Amino acid sequence: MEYKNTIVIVDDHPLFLEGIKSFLKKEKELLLIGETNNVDDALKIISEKQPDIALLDIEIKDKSGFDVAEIINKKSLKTKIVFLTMYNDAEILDKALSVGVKGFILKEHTSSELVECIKSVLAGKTYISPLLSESMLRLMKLKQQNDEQEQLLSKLTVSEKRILKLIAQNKTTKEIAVELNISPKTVENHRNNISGKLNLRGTHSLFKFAINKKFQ
Amino acid sequence: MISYSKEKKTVQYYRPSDQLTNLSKLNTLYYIHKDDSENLWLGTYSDGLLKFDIRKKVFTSYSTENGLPDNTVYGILEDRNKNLWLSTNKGLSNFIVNENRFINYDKSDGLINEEYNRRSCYKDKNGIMYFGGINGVDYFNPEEIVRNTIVPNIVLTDFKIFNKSFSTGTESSYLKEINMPYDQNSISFQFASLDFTDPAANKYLYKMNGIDEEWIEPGTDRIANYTKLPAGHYLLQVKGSNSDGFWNEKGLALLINISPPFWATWWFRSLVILFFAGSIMLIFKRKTDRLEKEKNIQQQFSQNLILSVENERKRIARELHDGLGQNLLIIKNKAYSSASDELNENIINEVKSIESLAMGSLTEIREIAYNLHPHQIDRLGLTKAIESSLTPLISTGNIKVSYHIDNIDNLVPKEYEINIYRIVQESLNNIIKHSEAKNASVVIINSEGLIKINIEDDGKGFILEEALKKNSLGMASFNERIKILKGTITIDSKIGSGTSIEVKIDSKNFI
Repeated sequence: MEYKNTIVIVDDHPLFLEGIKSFLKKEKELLLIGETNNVDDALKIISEKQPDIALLDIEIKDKSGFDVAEIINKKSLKTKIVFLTMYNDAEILDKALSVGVKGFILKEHTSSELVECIKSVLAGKTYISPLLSESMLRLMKLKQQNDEQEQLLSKLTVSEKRILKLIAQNKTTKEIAVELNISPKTVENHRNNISGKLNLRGTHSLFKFAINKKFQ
Repeated sequence: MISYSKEKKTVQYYRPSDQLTNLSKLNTLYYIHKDDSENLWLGTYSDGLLKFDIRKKVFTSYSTENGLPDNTVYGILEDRNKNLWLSTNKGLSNFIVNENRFINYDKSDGLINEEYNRRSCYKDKNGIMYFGGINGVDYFNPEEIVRNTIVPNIVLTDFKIFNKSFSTGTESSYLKEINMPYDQNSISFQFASLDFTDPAANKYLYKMNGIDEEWIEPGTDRIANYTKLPAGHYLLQVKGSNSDGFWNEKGLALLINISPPFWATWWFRSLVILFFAGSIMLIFKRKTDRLEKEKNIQQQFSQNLILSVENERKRIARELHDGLGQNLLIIKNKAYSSASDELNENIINEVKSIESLAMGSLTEIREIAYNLHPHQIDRLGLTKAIESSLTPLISTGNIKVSYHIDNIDNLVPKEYEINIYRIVQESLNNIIKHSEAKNASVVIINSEGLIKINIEDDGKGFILEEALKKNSLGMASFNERIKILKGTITIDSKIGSGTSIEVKIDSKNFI
C-alpha cells in the first residue's frame, strides 16, 4: 500500500476551501483527513489526528492561524504548518517563521506553488513563496544594513547625530550652538540625551566615543 | 427854608429837595425844632423827619426806611437825654439821636391815639410831654419809659414733621442736633425770643445754611418751614430781638442731619456695584464655560469622528481584503488551473489575461486595504505595524534612514493604537513627499510606559504656522489624535534645517 501523507485544511472561505480540496484530490500522495472553518475545530482535529501537514489560513474568522501554530508548537506535535494566506508582507512572514511555520505561500499562488511547497515541507525543508521571499529579502537587507551600520547609533536622532559629528571635531558646546544656530542649552540637552542613549558617563566619554567610531 | 442874616440883612433859600433827590419838590412843613447842636429838626407832611445842619447848611432825611412808623411827622419834642419824640399818623416814635434808631410806640403800649394833630405837642417844666391827637391827648414822662436792653435768649419751641409735633425725647429748647431719615424731610420749626416785655414786638430772622442764601423774616407765627429737604447736613440759625430791637445775634443754632435713603448710601451703592460686577462676571464665566463646553463637545466630536472613521476604515479594509480579495484570488487560481495545454491557444491566452487581470486587481485591493488600515496592527501589534510603515521610506533608497523602535505594544488602549501609527505614518509621508532630506531618523523609546517618539529629517523644513493654516501635512488630525492619546506633540521645523517631531504619550494616563 502506498504511503500517503495526511493533511488537514483550515479556511473560513468556503469557495476557496472547495478549490483546495479539488486541487489536492489530484495529488495521489496526499490524503485529506480533515477540514474545518474555525480554530477550535482545527485544534481538535489536529490534536487527534496529528496530520503531517496543517494547511492554515491566517485570518480564520475572529481568530488567527498564529493561535493554531503556537498551540501545535507548545504541544510539540509532529504536524508541520503551512500558511496559505492573503498577506504578502515581510512582517507577517517574519512572525510566521518565528512561530515555526514551515511553509508560507500566498493564496493567489496556490495553483502554482502549493504542491511544491507541501513536498518541500514534507522533505523537511522550509518553503517561502519565491516572489515574497524576494521582496522580503530586499527589505530585510535594507533593514539589516541599517542595523549593522548603526546598531549603536540607531537610537540617535538626526540632530543628535549632527551634534555627535561636531563633537568628534572637538568643538565646544558654544561652538556647536553657534554653528547650528541653536541655544547652548539645547546643545547641552542633546549631549545629555546622546550620553543617555549610548550609556556613556563622564565629560569626555562622548568625545572619546565619537573619535573611536570615527564619526564623521 | 429861608435864613435871614440880621447883620448882613440878607436872605438865603434852602430847599431840601435841592440836596436830596428822593424828596418831593413841594412839601408841607409841620414842625420845626432846634436842638443845642445847631441842628434844625423838621417834621414834614410826606418826607418824614429832616435834619438841617445850620452851620453846614446840609439836610439829612429820616423816613420809614430808617425805622419811622410813618412819613408824616406832626410834632417834635426833645427829652433830657437829647432824644427826640415824634408824633405821626401811626403813633409816637422815639428817635435815639446818637444811635440813629427809632423806637416806636402805639396803642399796644397804652397810647390812645394813632393819628396825631399837627404842631399839637408840648413839654412842661417837669419834662412831661403832651401830644394831641384825634382821640385826645397822650402825655407821659419820657424818663419813666425804660428801654429794654436785655438781649433775649432764642429757643426752639416746637419742631414738626409733616405738621405733627415731634418728640425727640429731649426738650426742644435743649436740642442741638436732630437726625431724620430721608422720608421725614418736611420739617417746621417754631422758635421764640425769651423776652416777654412785648412779645409781639420781638423780631426774628432765620436762615437754613445749605438752603437759604439770605436771612428770612418769619411771620407772626415764628415758624420756619422746609419741605422735602434733600439728604444732607444743615445748620438752622435763628436770631431774635426783644421788643426794643436789641438783637441776640448769636441766637439759636440747630444741626439737622437728613440721612440718605438706603439706596443712596455708600454701602448700598457699593453693594449694587458689587452685585453688577458679580453678575457680569457670572455671565462672563457662564459664557466662557459654555464656550469651553462647546469646545469640549466639538473636540469630543472630532475625536469620536477620528475613532469611528478608523473603525470604519478597518471594516472596509477587511472586507476588501478578505472578501473581494479572496474572490479575486479564486478567479486567479481557477484561471490558472483551467489553462491546460489541451485548450486552444486563443482561449489559453484569454484565460491567462483573466488570470493576470485578477492578479493585478488583487494587488490593488491589497494596497487599498493596507492604506485604509494596516493589518499588522491587529495581527502583529503596533510595533510591527510601525516597523512595516518604515518600508516605503527605506525603499526610496534616496534617504538614509536610521531607526530604533522599542516594543510599545499594549501600552495604550487597543483602539487608540492606530493613532500612534497614523502620526508616525503621516510624519514619514511628509519626509518622503516634501522634505528632500538626505537623512532621517525614527526613534521610538519606551521608557517605563512613557512612549517617546522622535522623528527627524535634515530636509528643507517648513513654516509650521503656514502648514497649520493650510492644514497641510495632516497637522490638524495630528492634534486631535494627540488629544485622544492624552499626549503632547512638539513640532520644530526651520526652513533649511530640517524638521523634528517629538511626541510623548504616557501610558499611565490610561490605567
